[in-house]
Amino acid sequence: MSSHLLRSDLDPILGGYLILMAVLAVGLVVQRRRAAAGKPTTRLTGRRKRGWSALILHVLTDALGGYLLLIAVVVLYYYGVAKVGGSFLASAITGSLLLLGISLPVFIAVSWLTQRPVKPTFRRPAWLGSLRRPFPGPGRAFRRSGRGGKAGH
Amino acid sequence: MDNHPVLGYLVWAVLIGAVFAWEGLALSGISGSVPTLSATFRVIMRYPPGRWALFALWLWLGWHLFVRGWHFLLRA
Repeated sequence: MSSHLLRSDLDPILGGYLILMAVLAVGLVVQRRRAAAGKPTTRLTGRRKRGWSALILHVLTDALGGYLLLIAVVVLYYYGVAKVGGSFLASAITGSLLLLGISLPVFIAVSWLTQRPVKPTFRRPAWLGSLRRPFPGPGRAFRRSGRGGKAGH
Repeated sequence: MDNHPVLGYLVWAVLIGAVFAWEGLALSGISGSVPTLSATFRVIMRYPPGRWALFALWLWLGWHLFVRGWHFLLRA
């Protein structure tokens, strides 16, 4: 394997992998330290408490931060590595913005569909009140919670 | 989050590493027949069903990685 090959192809790949792993590890350590100290997962969670406004704020800040990071990488690549022909920069900026514009409403809508309170459609007749239930059914409104109610965090 | 086993993180690191290794192998041309990721996506996106499938996969991945993890905010 020639040194040119290492420098031109494998070094950027290895560097990219190590940077990505380092960023993820730092995020994980910060999150664990906050949890161990009894603080909310993020500062935003502490300010906004809970509810739809907190969720939407988090998703929007994630999307905006990710978009800005992507554009920074694209601009650095364009001016620092290779000036790709055509309308590369304009396409990257408008294309990813369009994808965000499509995906964010979809994510919010799916969140609402999966997390909305669902009321049971069947009501036990009053004349059955004194009889024993053969099996424990949902006696009150419950929330759908994805996979058995297991939280992601 | 605290209950996630270390093994899970290692599996993710290996999976992401495998993608990077694939790209490195393809770019170096050592094997000669391994296509790069961009070449693979180009082939998939040549046809509209492939484009829609990739778009659906992208949405599914974003939903699971970035949105579903915040749903605990909606629970009392």
